Amino acid sequence: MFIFLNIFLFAAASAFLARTEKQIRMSALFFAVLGSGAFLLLSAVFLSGAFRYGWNVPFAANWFYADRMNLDWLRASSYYVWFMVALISFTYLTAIIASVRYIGEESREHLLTLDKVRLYFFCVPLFILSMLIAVFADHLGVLWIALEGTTLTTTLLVALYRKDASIEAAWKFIILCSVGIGISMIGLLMMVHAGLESGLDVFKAFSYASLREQTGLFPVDAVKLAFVFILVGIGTKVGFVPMHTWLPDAHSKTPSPVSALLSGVLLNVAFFVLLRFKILTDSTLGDSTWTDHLMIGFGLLSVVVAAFFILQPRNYKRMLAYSSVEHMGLMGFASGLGPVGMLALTIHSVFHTLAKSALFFTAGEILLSQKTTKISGVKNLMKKAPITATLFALGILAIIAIPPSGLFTSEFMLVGAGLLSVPWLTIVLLLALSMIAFSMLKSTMIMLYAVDEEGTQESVDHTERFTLTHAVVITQIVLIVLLGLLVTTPTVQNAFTLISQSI
Amino acid sequence: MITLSLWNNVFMGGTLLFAIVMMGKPRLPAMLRYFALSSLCLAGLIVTSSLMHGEEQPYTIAAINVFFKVILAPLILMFAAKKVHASMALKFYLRPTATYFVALLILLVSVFVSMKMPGAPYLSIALVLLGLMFMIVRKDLYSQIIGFMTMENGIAAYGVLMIGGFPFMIETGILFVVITGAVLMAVLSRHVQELYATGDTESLTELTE
Repeated sequence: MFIFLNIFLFAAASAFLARTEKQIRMSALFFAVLGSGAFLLLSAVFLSGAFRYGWNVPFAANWFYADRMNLDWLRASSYYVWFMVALISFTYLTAIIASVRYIGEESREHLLTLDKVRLYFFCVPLFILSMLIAVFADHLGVLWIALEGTTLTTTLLVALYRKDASIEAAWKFIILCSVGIGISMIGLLMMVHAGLESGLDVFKAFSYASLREQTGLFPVDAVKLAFVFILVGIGTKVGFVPMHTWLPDAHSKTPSPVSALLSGVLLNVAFFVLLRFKILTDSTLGDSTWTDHLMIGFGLLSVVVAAFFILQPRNYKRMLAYSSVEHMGLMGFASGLGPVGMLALTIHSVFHTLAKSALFFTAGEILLSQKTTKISGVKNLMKKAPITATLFALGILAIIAIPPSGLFTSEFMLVGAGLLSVPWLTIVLLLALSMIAFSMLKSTMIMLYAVDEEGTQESVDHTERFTLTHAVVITQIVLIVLLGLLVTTPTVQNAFTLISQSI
Repeated sequence: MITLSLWNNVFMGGTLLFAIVMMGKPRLPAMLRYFALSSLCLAGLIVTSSLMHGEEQPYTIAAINVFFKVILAPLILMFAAKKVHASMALKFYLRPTATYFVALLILLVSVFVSMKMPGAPYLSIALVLLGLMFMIVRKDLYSQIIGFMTMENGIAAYGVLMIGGFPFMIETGILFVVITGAVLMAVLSRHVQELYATGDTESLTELTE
């Protein structure tokens, strides 16, 4: 395991060893193929083995690394871990391919110097490494370090352009996320203290796996309080309202491939960590009602507030960022709806990752060609850049859950389960979702078809080139459609059920 | 005879007292000096508390704490401020007297919270709340960083008093991450100074909705 994790360190180092800008991009691509290929292969082997032959994933995975080195800090404790690893690896690979084009183009236009290109390709692999460690972490101290690591490695990426808005976004990002992660540390330490009180030694009290075995002995009030700290702290990283204020700024000011990583996987990773502690708390309380109410509350609030911000968007990257707040809200809502909600959440996370990263990659293409992130500045895109415009429209349709996007399946399940347990809140949720779908479609239509003031003929450039980013986005959209159809079949749903139950 | 327990109490008092004094300091060097003194007392607390919990070698962790928080963090912030010729006078919403009054209220709230929260040490709650309050009542970037680090001192105090400290590697990792965060914040504050010619957070209004 440690050998594979080292690939990301080599990738970061290569950014400083390579001489030219092209060498930096190519070495980053090489290590991305190597690193993501290794982890995608491992995920495929363990997940397919588990589904076909009934392997015990933790057992099958443990021989592979930690125990042999007498280190229990990292552990593949569930199918969900490998599921998250697959999502991270795939998005990493696509983001680096998109970066090769995007950063190359910005470098050619002298928007980025060689040092900034180095910094970019230095930080991205370290960011991925931090996320992988956060997913594998069994030791709560390591988990905290990895979560804070994701903040630190992305701060410089948010501030990459050194303009006033990007510096402001980076400042808000590091302060709010660091304070949030700090607050979550109090909750984590309270969990550790509960473990010590229940008779664990200091080393085992820091282990998530050991804590889960002891939950019956924990004091209920202390664990409830700890979960509140963790929910507020890690909820900041997830982007739950009202701790979300850093998210639209950071996601809109960073280079588009990084926005895709932030929205597509970082939020999912933080959500996964939160879910693990929800399960720990439920296990202590012997019932999930208390945490379900909290998650439904934060989830609904996030969707409703995001709906109001998306109503009058001025910036298409901010619109996509608020859409991420909405989708994290949906996942929060789903996590409070029992087993069906958990299944919906698992399916939702795959399709949100695919659709949102595809949209941010396309947004990068729009920015490269139109030189603005303002919606009012992008008009008649369907004629100016037809490939990009078509892909953006398809991405928007996928993210607002138009069939055959798999998000339709997940939201259908979510609404079904919601109407049974919290009908009025689900109706509010549906109204907010309708507002969001309407607003996003309206903004997209303006960008695609509104005629600009300069007149259509002069400003239309029919020679849009087919780029590497287009190829990546097409692959993602094909996956969204194919998986969206497959996810309705019993076999695939059973696989997702197994994953969702394994957290 | 001076016992370990007495030293423990002295360091606890020192950590809190210097943090409170720091709250009202209107100039950067004074604020950093009191933060360093508070962190030094925390390092002392790590030694005494770890010895009381039966740890045999708490000195390395305490030394790393001293290096990172007492020496390195204040030096980095001072260096960053001097590099851009930032004003040593800090900006605040509340005058020092009012700040001390709010700090006093927070100490009272901390008593209430520590009674309600099972097993949570008073020092830790007070430091976390004081750190948060400091970030709210001050307008300048350096105070935000020191507020965050005071909050982190509170979390470290929780770890020491309730758990007897972290394993060595984890403690080092946490300190490394915290100091890296402080360095990044210092770098960003330098850019803000260069762009806006002020360290006032009120100038950061580009991204409002």
